[in-house]
Amino acid sequence: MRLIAALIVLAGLLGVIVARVAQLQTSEADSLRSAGSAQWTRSIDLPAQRGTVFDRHGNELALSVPSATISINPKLIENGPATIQLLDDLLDLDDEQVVDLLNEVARKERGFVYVARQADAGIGDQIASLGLSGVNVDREGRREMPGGDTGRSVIGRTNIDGVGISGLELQFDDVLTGTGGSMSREVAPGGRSIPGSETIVEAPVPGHDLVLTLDRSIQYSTEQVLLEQVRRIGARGATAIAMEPSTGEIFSMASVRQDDDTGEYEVTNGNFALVDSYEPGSVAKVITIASALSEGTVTPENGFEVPWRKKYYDDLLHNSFQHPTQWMNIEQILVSSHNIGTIFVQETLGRWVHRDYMAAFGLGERTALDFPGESPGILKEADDLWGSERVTVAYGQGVASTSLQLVAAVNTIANDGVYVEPRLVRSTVEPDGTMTEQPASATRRAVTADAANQTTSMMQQVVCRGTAKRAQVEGVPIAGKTGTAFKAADNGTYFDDEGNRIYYASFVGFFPADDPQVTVLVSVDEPPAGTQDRFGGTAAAPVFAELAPTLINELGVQPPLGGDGCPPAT
Amino acid sequence: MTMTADPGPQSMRERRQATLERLHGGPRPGPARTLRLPTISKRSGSDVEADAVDARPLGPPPAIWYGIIAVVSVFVTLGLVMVLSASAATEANLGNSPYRVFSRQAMWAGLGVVGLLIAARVPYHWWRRLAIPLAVVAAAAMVVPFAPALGATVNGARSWVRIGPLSVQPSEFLKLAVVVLAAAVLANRRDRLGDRRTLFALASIAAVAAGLSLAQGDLGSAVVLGAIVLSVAWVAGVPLIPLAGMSAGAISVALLFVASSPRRLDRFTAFLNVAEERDHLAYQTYQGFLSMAAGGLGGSGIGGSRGKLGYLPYAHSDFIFAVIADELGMIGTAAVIGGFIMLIWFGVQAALAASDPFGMFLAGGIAAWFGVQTIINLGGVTGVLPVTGLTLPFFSAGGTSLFVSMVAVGLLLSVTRRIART
Repeated sequence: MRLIAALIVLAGLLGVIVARVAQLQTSEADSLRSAGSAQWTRSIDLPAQRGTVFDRHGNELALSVPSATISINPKLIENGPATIQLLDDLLDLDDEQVVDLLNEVARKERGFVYVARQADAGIGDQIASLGLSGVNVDREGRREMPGGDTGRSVIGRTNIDGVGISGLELQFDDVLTGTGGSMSREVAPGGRSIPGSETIVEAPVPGHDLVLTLDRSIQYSTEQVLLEQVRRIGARGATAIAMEPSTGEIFSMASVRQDDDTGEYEVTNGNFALVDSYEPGSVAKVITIASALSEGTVTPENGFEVPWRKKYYDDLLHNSFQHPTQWMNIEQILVSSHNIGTIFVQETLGRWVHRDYMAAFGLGERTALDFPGESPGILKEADDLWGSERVTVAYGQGVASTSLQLVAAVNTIANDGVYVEPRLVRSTVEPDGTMTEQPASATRRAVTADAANQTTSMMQQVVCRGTAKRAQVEGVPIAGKTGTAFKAADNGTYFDDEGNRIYYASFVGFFPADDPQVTVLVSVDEPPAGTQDRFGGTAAAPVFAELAPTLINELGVQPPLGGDGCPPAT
Repeated sequence: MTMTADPGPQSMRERRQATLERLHGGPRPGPARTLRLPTISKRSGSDVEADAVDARPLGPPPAIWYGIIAVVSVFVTLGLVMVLSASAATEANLGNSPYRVFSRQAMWAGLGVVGLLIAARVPYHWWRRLAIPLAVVAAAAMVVPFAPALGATVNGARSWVRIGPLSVQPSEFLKLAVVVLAAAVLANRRDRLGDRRTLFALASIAAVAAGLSLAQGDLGSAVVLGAIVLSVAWVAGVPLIPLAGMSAGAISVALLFVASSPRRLDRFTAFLNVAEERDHLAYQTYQGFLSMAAGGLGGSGIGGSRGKLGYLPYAHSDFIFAVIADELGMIGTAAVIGGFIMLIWFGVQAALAASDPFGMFLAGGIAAWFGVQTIINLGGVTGVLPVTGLTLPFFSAGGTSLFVSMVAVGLLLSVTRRIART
């Protein structure tokens, strides 16, 4: 009996334990289970592949390649000096960094120290396969530009974390950046992960690709001819833009500059073609004359008795060369780039109407590119102009534009008088290949087609017989206009501290003149004063001529004429 | 043949008897067997009569013999699997072979099988004669851990003897010795159970055994030892009042021991407030909860426990039940606890059917020992009782515990082979 009683008591107690286990495994299980999984599960962010930047033909301009980031946890590391030695052997670290790392592993205070970022993925894999405790290898994308510097000013850069910090990388960061995923893995105490426990909780979604309007070959050539020219003449820098007249698509947009420290000429990080604005100078005469033609206040046959200099609002303004007062028609005024003549043309319009035309040509307002850091230039209201500024705007002093604004303005002439917003991004491509076209560029009529065509033929004469002869390309009818502006220095005058003029030389042209396929602006910043290379016709026009063969080639331009491309002299 | 006149005075009955003897190769033990149960009360506890029981040849094993073998085989096998599962990851992380704990446990299991077979073969009354020497040796062994060269302190209890690669816990042997001694003493004095000298002897056994364990700092073993003595006394029929007195005394001593150190008291009472103390005093219990909860109904599968990866301290030894519950789920835990209930039930059956008082007390004592130790271990793991650092018999890693438990099973088997049949 006592034995049975003992049996019952013991069995009863065991029954209580069974009940307790059942309780733990059922009713209390959920909260305990989540506490448990919180304890041994770690979530790891999986970076999404950043989208690739392609040119218009699908060539890669910037893409992310796998790389490895190696870090250590000094608290977990075993045999610190040997591990650091091994990492040094594999990664070839700086001596200074090795010393720092040795200090870290000796102190064992911090839980995370970078060893190398964006190291070669293969070496990262090797290090990971060693399974050293306290050494972590994480995957990261490294942004690479297969074409070297090609397009760097436009594409911009990402920081080491793969976030766009300038250019299109910044502007389209949201598009390029994918949605990060996450992975969970189980860890033993101390953080050692348990092999085979990794599960992808959420797969990362790669970013969208960008297809640009840039043409990698044209972009490359543009940068190279600019570098060659600025190096040859010793200018501070230069920008150039090639644009398709009918669509506003930009084939190339280059910016080169001499590095202040090294003296080397290089493709700039900043996109000065639309960040900096300058007084466009004589190139703006195209706008003044086309506007007057469009408004009908002048005809190509009209002319003026033009003196070489004239006083306006207390300022004696003069032409770039001296001559007796003579009758000049509109074409002659443009071909000889006559300042006073252009003021006469502007006066037929009145400065208020002229101002409206300049706005219609896109001056004074950021373009539709909305590029980071893009400048709107300066276009004052007509009533805000002061003194002789009221008339000098006719020849491009007293107004400021970016290279982009200027090329788009002259492109209006090439496009039969219709202003086209510039376009840099053609489409975005989703990871599954779905392509989304960006909306076509907005257009607006600025001047009549007749006015544009009349201006075009005058601009042809500029190239054939005027200031831009050096822009001529054999067999190609080219319309263009030079500009040699005085650049406002930081001291508020047009002279540098040594009393020299500071110049800003440019040339805008398009071809073939009768059916323009491309409009190109070349601007040379601070060509050397006191030399023959300071003018738009000498500093900038030759660059255009040098670039033209590449453009003809790449764009498949069929020149309609033989010879020098010039119409017979009238 | 029967028709042939066979000379001799034998009756048909005698002839049949002789034929059966020829067929079975010896005289049938039948008549003795029918007498066995009633003789328990009649016989005195003298050695002569005990020897007479010994001398009887063994009959075919009864059903509970197979039952015990079956349960213990499953326990030991499953125990080895779970020890491997629970220890492999942590051993590998320490840079050891993942099989290190497992192979040691397997070796002890092999020794245990030998011990079990010998103990099952040897007539259990030999133990009765050896009771006092065994107890003295076991008690002496309890002092060995205090020898600086041989002893080792694990988890605050100085209860280990290291001999070369082997670690032995003398307290496990003491448990066996105490069962045998208490059974022997009460069998000898079963007509004077309420006697002062009997009670004094019992109290002394309990006090010395438990005292030695407490001296080592091993409360769990002390509780089990005390419980064994009380259980044997209960089974033997010691009157209730002295028994209750002794129990009260034992409990007070245990509580005094716990209360004697604030740290011990804190750890002892932590199980009452697992949620609050889960990062400190009740960390192990809480981690055990997490493991058990992870198992659910079906379990996470052998090898699937995360707690054993280092979160759950002593996952392979004291807290192996948490790993079992994790990996085998509620079904596995029910099977394991059910197995223990069956084992205790078989022990009680063996005791009820034992052919003499010593066998009865011995079987009852062993059953109670398994029961109490299992309850204290499982109670600790499940947060019903304080955690005391006791092994789960047959499962926990710990060679001495496994070996001694298997020898005890051998004793149990020895008793079952010599029980009465009706």
